[in-house]
Amino acid sequence: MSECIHSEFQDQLPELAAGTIEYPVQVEGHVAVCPHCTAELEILRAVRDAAVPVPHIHISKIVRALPPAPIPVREEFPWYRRASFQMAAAFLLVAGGLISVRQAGDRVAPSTSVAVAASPAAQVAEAPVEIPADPGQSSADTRVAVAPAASPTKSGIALVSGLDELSTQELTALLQDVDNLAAVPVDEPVEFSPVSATDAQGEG
Amino acid sequence: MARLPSRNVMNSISKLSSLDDSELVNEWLSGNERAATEIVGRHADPLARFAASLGEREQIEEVVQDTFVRAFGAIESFRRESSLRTWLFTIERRLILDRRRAEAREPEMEMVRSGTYSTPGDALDEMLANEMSERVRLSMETLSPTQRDVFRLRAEQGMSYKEIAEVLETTEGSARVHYHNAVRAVKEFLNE
Repeated sequence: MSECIHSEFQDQLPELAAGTIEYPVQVEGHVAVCPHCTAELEILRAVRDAAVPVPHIHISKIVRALPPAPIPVREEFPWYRRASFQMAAAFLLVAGGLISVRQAGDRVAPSTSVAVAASPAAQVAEAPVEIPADPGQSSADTRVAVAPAASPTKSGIALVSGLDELSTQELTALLQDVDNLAAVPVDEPVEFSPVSATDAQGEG
Repeated sequence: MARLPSRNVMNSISKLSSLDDSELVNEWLSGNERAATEIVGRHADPLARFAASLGEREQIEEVVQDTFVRAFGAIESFRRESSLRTWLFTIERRLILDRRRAEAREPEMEMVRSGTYSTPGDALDEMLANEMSERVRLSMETLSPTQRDVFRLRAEQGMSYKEIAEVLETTEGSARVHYHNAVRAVKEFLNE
């Protein structure tokens, strides 16, 4: 008995007999003109029809006999891998770094603190006022100490009330000292002369 | 009066029925017991028919149940390289072969049960009305065991050659050759 030469159709005959083929039209068209496939399809259908009837299967009975479903195990991270710990560690690192940077800055240039502006007036009156001569230089040699006022204040502003007690000569000397400070810009600023729009048009 | 299942239960069942076999296995592995019901419901009847085609008659339900118990007990070894159905058929076939080997070691039990296997006489007893079906069934008895298994998996279950090769633990080419030889033999028998 010769075989069908169209194996692509012949291979789909079981699915055609079972009714599970997705696009049966082409295969059915081939079967209609092919005696070999017609005979095979008859056999396949007869085999399905002749299949031994099976008893009803009780699904619930089988399911009851099955082992229990596994209990899912939640993945536990060690304490050092938890997000809360990692965030806290990062915060501590940043805070510690900021504190150490600030302390290092205080050690390098203690005089850069703005004592005059930040201190209460009473403290200014009692403690020497340190003004750095040049922010870029070492502060130890170049700072200038301003002597506090000897008498108690009258107006409540220590520096101003202290100046009241100074003589004209002392005030002049103090002003000269202040003028000599390198921190104060020596050069006068370049005079700014704005160019008006009309001037610009006239030149152009 | 039976209590109707809640909406959540119905949604859960509806959701499971839309999943494929591999996803159902994942559901069961993640602790969803209902996935097992869906899997058993899908494959119990095909497994019963396959057991019948392999000669089982009176213990079909027991074989199907044992197949599922064995499969779910070792479901972590299901590597998804084949379909779940093919894997279940493979387990069932091995199970039936194991039972037959065990019965062969017990001659008395074999004598009792030998009458339940599909002999030509029994096949005739089970004939219904269709003469063609009777003749086909008789023709099947002329096939070798491997030819018969391949032919039934192809004809009754609609399995591909690849699936048949996995179930019978042979090659795809061998399954194809066995099938065509079986068809030829059945045709010749019917034309006599």
